[in-house]
Amino acid sequence: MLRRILTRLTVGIGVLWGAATLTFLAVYLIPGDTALLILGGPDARPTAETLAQVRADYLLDQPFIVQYGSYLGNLLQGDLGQSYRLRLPVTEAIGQQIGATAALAGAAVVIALPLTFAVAILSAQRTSWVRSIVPGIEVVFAATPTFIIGFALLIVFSFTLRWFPIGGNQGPAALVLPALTLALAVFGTLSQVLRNELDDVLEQPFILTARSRGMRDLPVRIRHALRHAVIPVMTMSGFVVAALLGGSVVVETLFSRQGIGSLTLASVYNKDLPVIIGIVLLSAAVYVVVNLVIDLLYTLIDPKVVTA
Amino acid sequence: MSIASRTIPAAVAPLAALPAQPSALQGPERARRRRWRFRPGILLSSAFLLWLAAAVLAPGLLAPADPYAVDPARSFEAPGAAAWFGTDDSGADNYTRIVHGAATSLYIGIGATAIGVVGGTAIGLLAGLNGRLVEASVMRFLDVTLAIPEILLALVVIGIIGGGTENAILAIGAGSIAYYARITRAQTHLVRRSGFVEAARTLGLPAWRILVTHTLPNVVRPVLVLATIGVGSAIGAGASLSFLGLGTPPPAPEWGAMLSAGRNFISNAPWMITFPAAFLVATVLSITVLGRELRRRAEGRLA
Repeated sequence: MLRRILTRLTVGIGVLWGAATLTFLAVYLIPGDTALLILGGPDARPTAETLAQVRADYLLDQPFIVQYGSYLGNLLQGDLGQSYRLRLPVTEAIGQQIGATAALAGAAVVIALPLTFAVAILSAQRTSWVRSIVPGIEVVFAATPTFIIGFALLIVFSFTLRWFPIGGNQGPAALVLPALTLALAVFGTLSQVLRNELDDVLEQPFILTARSRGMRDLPVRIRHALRHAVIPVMTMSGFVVAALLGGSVVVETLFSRQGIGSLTLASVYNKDLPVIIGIVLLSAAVYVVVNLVIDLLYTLIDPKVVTA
Repeated sequence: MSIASRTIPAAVAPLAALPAQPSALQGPERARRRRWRFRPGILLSSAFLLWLAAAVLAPGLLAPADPYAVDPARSFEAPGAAAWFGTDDSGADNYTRIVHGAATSLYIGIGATAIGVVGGTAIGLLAGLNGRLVEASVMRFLDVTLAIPEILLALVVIGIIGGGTENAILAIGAGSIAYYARITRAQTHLVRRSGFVEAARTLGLPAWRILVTHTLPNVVRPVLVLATIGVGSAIGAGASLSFLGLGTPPPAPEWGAMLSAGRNFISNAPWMITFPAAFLVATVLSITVLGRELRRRAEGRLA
């Protein structure tokens, strides 16, 4: 067990190092003058001395290996550099925004998971009309771009029914529609996977055994089938992280919310590379941690994994 | 199924897990039923894609007006006989712009998918056909890109090279390379161990001939099937980027850009949102539905 955790941890650190190196290379190889970018782009017209000063400050006049080494060294100390645009340490810029996005993503998960499980458990292996309509709804949610789902909710619930505010970060009411948007996008894909698994598992002999013992339908589904069907859904955790983090960019824009998504967008507009790198590393870190947790959860759900 | 899909990487899982239609019918009876089953989804999707093809090939036939023509006197006109889908804030005709925007959406979708498929197939073959060391390093590299959401990868690329239609294509395509590389590699392994490659090797065929006539076609075909669904999601991603102001820039008739403009007028001109959104969803959905059908049919021949 401990060995398993250590191996996973090493792999996770490797992924983070890889992500850090990849982003560093991408920035290093960009055509164009980084010093000029730091000073505000081509329109800034800085003097030769300022340019030279910036080059020296940011080690831009040093060879590749020195720049890369100093970058990794700073990373290890938790220093992601300075934002070109905000004149703030990147960690601070991200720290200010992370709470809002964490709340949004958390709320989305809280809506999406129960919805997914309820729909998949109730609709698996039904020959009635449920079985013909539910998959269609899921495909629509899975295929529709996230911001279109958001527009639909916005038009129905904010502009027509006036139940929720049209945007902003104030209060829990403003969180409902953005979280629901992300949740529906996640639900569409997850529910398809879970139901397909349940469909297969419910054909297994042990289900018949449970039923022949007189167990009712719903307990059979929840206590016997779900345990088997849930593992492939857990491998989708990477997809969920990506959908939430990537989705936060469009959702925060659509609902005029503060957060990592809107910070990403503002940084992309302004070519604020240190912040972009910071956000990429953050998402890689979230992905690594979530995968680590999920991996450990496997052993709780499926004891065979430990010996395998 | 449940055991097999545990080894499928997360990003591939939703596509790999197919609904296996349980059916009590067997043999010819089952085949007959399947052929005659009425499938409104397939029918509607095909009809819509035909319309879309017409809009791409001959937009002037469907909407003869100029998509750039503005008329401030006619701004915010509600849908009616004069303007079927209403007009926008500058008085441009919504219907005309939607018809003319079809080509841009498809251009982004197909262009980005082509970049993803070509890059991914090359990397996947490199990993699948070479020794363990190459394979391991390529796979670790792909693990890293998998840790970053596709849209974030696309945003990083745009943050470096800037926005615009072509850059958006490049960004979305680059973001999807890892996905196609993974499928290609898995498929390469499958094909390499298959009976017909084994047979060709036993017959003494040269390695390059086995690669060109046996391995490649059988690796590429399933990747192309998945790529049809990929075109749908790439169109969605392209519209998302334009909505964020990073894709096709405004005066051009592009659905995502139209939605971005309409966002400011939801309360007084909701048709600026509903119509482009409906066409975007219909396009992505039709391609997804037909792509899934293709995959369902192809699956019997694979694996």
